[in-house]
Amino acid sequence: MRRSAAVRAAIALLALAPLFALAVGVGLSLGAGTLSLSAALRGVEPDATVLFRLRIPRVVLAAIVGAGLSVAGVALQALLRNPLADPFVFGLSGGAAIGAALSVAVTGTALGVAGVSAAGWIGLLPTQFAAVLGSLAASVLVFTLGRARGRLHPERALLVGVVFNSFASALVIALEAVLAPEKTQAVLLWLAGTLGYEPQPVLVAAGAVVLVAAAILTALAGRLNLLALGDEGAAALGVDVERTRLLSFFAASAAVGAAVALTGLVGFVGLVVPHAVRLVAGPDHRVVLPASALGGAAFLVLADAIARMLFRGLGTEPPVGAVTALLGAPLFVLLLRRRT
Amino acid sequence: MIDSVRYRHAARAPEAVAGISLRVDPGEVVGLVGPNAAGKSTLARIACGLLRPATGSVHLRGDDAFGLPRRERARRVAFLSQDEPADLPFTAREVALMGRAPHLGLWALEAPGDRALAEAALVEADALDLADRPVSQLSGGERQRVFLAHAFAQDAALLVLDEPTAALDLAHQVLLVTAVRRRAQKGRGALLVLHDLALAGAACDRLVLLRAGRLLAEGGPAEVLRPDVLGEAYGTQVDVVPDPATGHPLVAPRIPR
Amino acid sequence: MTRVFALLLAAALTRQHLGPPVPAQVRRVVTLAPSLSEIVLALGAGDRLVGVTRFDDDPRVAALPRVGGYNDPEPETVLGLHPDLVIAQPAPENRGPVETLARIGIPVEAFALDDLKEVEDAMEQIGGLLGVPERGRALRDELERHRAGVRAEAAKGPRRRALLVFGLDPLVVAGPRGFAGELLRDTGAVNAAGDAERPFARMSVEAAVRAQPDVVVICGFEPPPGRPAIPGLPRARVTTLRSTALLHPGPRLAEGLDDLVAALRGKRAP
Repeated sequence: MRRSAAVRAAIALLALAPLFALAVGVGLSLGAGTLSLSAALRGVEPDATVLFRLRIPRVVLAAIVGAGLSVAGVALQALLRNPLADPFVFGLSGGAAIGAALSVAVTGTALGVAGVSAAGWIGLLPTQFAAVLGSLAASVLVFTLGRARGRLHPERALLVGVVFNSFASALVIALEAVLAPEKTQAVLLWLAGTLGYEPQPVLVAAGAVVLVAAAILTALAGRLNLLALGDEGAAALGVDVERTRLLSFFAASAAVGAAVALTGLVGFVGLVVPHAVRLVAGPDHRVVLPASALGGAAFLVLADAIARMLFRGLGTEPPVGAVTALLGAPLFVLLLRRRT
Repeated sequence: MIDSVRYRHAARAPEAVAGISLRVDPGEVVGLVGPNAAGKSTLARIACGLLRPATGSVHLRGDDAFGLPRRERARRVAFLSQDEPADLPFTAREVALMGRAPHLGLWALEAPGDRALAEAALVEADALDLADRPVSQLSGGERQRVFLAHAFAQDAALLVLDEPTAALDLAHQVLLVTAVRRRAQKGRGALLVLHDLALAGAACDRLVLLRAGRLLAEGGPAEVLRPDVLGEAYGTQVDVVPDPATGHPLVAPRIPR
Repeated sequence: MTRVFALLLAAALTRQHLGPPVPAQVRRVVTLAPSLSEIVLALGAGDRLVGVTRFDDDPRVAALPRVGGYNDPEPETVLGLHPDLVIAQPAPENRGPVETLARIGIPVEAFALDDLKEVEDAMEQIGGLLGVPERGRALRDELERHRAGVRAEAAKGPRRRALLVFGLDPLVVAGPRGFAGELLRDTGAVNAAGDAERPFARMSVEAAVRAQPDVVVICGFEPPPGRPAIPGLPRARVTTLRSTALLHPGPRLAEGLDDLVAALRGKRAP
């Protein structure tokens, strides 16, 4: 590779841009109903409402979540030197699940009422708010327990995270026994990853968080490359390994927190998009990070469009996590076979 | 320059390095030799600022190594460890280029000058033909040459190499030593941790012999590589004969048949 | 302060309006629960229904387009039906989607239907929204009359202990609060799940056995054949109410009440 990293990143982004544009086009033109783009642009109702207040915000949402989960996945795979890491591996999924389940369980109690007003003040639904709090609390917990002798040990944190996630699943199952059946079904569905329609302020806030996190991680990309040389190898090159880890961990957690708040736990994207990008663009994080952001956004926009369209046939919209896996797994296998 | 450093790996462990002082001047190639667990690797890491001694100080070009910002320290001393990771997906050229990291800015983007230096480093380490191959697919010796190029690319005044010849064949061992000496001629310094005493004798201007964390002997090869000194250090009998061509002392272990 | 807030919230949750104001003339209505569809039909406004949920199985709405389920009304589909009003049952699970509908400019009225007072208020208020308030009041009066009649009859008969079952595995029963429990009280039976806090509560099999009901009434579904519905109650009589009248809080509750009376008396219920 004789081109500089900046040039390669630019090439990757230019190559992915049409894919993203295509995904957005599909996302805007497909849905449960029919839409005439020209009518919408002329202001004809209901097309205009469908376009501007339903489909555009939905596409933006999918792009934000797809990008956020993908960059978090890249960062965590680099931190752990483990290609099987996904964005929820540090206990974030368990924390979100506990938060969401608890928010449903305490509905109507004093705590529930307080939570509802706090959430409303921020502009989130109570379940979203509780899930974010849960995932952030979990990440702090895992991070603290993952430290030994004053330093973060990624493998230890991973272990704590995996154990915590198991604990959280068990807790949620136990909570189900207490909650009314239809409530738990709703929680489980949300946890499976569902995109909805969020008001603008929420989208803007989440988008800002993901953007900042992605920028931080891209600035750290060179150092993430060096982490592959081992703690000592990286330190010998002047990298502050501990600080790089901390910053990456928190940037990734913030991006995942924003995604979880919006859509619950959408699986597959954060695990597979980084690998797909690496298969095509190589292991350099300075290319993989921005490319994964754009690629992840395109992928989720596309999967979401398909999920919405399936409403016509199924009478209900399947959770997007199901579509990402059904769509993504064969695509990934295809890519794997073509590149090796 | 290392001054009276002491270091323990763990609280109640015996001292790995017990009060050693050492200096490497510009243009010098210093060899660190001694039996296993003598503290050679530990001392090498202290010299690079990777391990902090309990007492004593380390100075690089007059500045306290632990007071320097990390990148500045990495610009002054380059370290190559005994076991570099084998499963890197990066190509040899990319690994060599990583050696330029201490010289790069915030976004870690390399300039054409950096790429040229990395290429030259690959040539120096005779790894140019490996340039586009992923490191994970290379043999042990090939990998060691790539990491050598990585250390050369760092372009530091002091090069600290821990067992750099362990996996190399004879030709490449000679190549490595020649490259290090050539750099020394240009004013760089090198601290080599070596097991191979013959190579140490041929390659180094000065030798430092350690045993159990203490300095046993220091001086030119002829002074240090002597049967009595080595016998005490290694606890085994050796013969030392001068190399017929160069006069360098050659060490041969005495093995009864 | 929290108590006041809670009370306000509770009051607000019984009936809630979201989105733009409801027009004076409501010609196109979408309902997000079968009970609400039944109320609209009973008010004689069935011709104004333009969209229902996929769970609506009343033959009178069979031809209507489906807009989704309880928790996932699909906004584009709803919007495409150009409704003047969407009627929903408020629940934490559907709050997001319902708020989305309001946000894109559709008037939404949410009615809780947990107990009989809420059901009757809903029938009257929906009647008001649809311009037929007298029909709404009539529906309410009909239900009350029916209940009074049943209570009068019940005073003459024996008081049986009954368990009203809405789910097996896990066991879900009707507590005294909530419309099902209230109707059970009207029949004169003693609710064996008398200390349940919620309208529909889970009960352990042990607690059910300890409660010693004389009759177990299973509402709206067939228990698995070949085994006792609730183990440990050999002397209890188990009846199944196949009709879904008791599952839909609305005008069909009168019919449901009759079914319940018949079941408790041991007559074969429809």
